[in-house]
Amino acid sequence: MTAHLLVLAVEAYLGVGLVLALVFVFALIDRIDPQAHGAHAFRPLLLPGLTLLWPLVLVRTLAKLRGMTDPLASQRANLAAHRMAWLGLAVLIPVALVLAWSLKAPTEAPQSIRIGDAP
Amino acid sequence: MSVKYVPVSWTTSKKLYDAGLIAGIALYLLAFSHFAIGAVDDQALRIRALGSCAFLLLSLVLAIGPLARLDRRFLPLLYNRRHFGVITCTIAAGHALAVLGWYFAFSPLGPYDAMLVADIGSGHLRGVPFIPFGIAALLILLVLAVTSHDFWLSFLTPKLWKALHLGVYAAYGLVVLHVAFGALQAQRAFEIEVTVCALGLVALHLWTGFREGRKPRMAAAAPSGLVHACKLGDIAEGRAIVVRLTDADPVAIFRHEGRLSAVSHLCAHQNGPLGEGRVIDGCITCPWHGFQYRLEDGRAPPPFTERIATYRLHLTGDDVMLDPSPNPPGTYVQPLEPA
Repeated sequence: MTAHLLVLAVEAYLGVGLVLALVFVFALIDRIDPQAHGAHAFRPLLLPGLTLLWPLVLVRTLAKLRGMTDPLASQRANLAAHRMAWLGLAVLIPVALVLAWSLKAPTEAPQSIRIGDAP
Repeated sequence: MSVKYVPVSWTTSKKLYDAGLIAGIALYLLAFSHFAIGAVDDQALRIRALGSCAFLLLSLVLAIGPLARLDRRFLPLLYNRRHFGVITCTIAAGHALAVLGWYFAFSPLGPYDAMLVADIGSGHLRGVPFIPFGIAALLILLVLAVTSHDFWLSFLTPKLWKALHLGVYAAYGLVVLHVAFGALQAQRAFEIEVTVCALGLVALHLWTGFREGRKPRMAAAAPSGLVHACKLGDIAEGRAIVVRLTDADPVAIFRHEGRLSAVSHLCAHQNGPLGEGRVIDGCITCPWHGFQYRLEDGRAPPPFTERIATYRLHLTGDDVMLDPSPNPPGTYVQPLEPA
């Protein structure tokens, strides 16, 4: 039941996203990005992203329609995040592999087809 | 770097890059199918081949960045990395669809419901939810793939776009968990691939980060607020030196026709290292994707519109002194002409 509700929620989210995505590419994009003027062939490529990220698209579109400009942004936060990401992975990956090996069954798992078997 | 968006800015090198990549993937899938051990049917073989290929591709695409930092000969691989990422996501999606179409297609619940409630895990780890790790990783890769067009860079701003695309590291961690608690438990064939790729990639990134971290950083000297950047003779004609500051973005100081100009080291496109680029046709040219900027004002030549921050320079004897406060992107600064 929970799984079914989750699937329905995802479908509803994507349905709303698709409607907003179509509105965006047909009615709004020309007003917020000069490089889109007269450019149509690339617009279908945007639909999946607009559908997936519609809340973010909504926030950015409203900000741009209100004429808000983006301040000069330092990239140091992203560079620091990049370093932290790899330090985190340097811990996570060996731990995950050691744990996986230590718990691994000594022989190959049965090869019969069974729902949920590791493909 | 475009005036009007196009679906894909094809160049000969991009076509060759994509063709080589697709040919390599086809060869890998064929070889996997031919030499695979233990697969019981075509469907399982397809699932394993696509999964193995996606893991390998994701590891390779994450290796391109540090390899290009360590050796400039890897820079051509970086030029079309976004296509590499999109193809990787496509192969991963193929793996997921093959799993859905085989293990969950015949459930009365529907494939998505069945996948979410399935008895998961194998061996000693029965019950460890390795499938959600894969779903989460695929979702991240999908978000990255569908936001790879240059429109998104402009729409979200380079800072937010780059932050979003840092999600690829979370995706890699999730993929490792997915494989470690899934395929690795049931199949010996993945042990070598997973170990070499994952640990090798960690070592490569740590080594590159260590090397970058050892580069000296400079602080402004009191009371002038200026940073001693270098000696006049340190900068080769048509090239730059990079000044790494303790509490601000790095700055590239270029020498062109004997005159010095300072701009942000980070390209407005994807943070490429401008200071490692060259002056071509009178413009700073990013070594990653070829974006260009004028030396005197940090603006891309018309009709392009990208801008980067500029900085002021002073000369004391033959010491080049840098004012570390950035000017707004596109601000004109008269190049410094040594006497």
